[in-house]
Amino acid sequence: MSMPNFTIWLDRAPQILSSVVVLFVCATSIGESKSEVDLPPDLMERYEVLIAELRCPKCLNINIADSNAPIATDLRMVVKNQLQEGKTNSEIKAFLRDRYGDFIDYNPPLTPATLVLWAIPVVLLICAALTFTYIGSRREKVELSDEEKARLQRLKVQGPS
Amino acid sequence: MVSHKRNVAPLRMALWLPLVAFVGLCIVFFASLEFSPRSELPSPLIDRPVPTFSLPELQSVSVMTSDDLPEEAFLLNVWATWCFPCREEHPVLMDIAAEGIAIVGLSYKDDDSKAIDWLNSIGDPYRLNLVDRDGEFGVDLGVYGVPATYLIDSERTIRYKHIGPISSSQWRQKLAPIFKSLQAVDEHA
Repeated sequence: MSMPNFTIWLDRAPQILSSVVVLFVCATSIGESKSEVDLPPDLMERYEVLIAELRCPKCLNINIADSNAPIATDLRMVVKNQLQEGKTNSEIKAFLRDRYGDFIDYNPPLTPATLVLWAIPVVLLICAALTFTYIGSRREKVELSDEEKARLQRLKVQGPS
Repeated sequence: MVSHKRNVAPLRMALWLPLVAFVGLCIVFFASLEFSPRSELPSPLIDRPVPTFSLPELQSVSVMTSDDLPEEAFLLNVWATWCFPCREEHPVLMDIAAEGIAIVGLSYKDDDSKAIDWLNSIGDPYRLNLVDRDGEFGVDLGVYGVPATYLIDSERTIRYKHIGPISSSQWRQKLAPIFKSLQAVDEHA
């Protein structure tokens, strides 16, 4: 019984080896991202949330957690230092928005420009509702004459002839 | 039957609306992909005073503050020896300085001795050389790439931010007129 099992393992050696390599690479990269800063667990949790929500000003559409740009590293340090100084999340975000603009925040505050984004879906929904009510009201207006009603009745009973 | 048809005709036309709207949106999106200047962020520092600082001077290492900034309109140029476009920009800065315009240099996240060597070998266009070794003042200025140049008036208010190296044509066509307008305000005052 043990021999066939052994050959199966041998046949699959390349797959097993590559899985081990992939797992190893993943494990080390996770280790690396954690080792950059050393914070107590509660601050670490907020740190990870913040760097995921802050956008790298240098690169297009990537947060400062994932960016390798030097400025992203600097901003991660800013976040870390301010967390250690006891600043709140919103204070840290306000500090960076003050310097880099609303662009830096993936969760931007409500301004006239962002209000448009919030309003568009609502406006579209209202338009759709109005359109459907309009179409619906048109349909109801079609009324059959007595002659047509009689014909419809005949068709219902006898089927088309 | 006739009245029924008359009601439906405008609705038929309306059926094309979604397609027209869709094509219109596609055009808008593709156009904005092509033409929007994505690499430049609008700076919230425009029309705000230069952030306060106390930074070492490059050669003397004495501490400089906002009070040491020029009293006339000036340029604040953020640069580094590791920044390749800065080398391209350097002769333009030399020309601007030769016109008698005050430029303050901010050596950004650089090795001081390399910065001094650079200025000694290819020329020093700066009236004042500040050092921001760890990029902390850079964050206050909203710097995210070098070189970057700020146009600052005599009240020490930031009036314009230029991102990337200044070419001589950009200086002549775009930045010099803005800078002249800052100087003109002082002359009238």
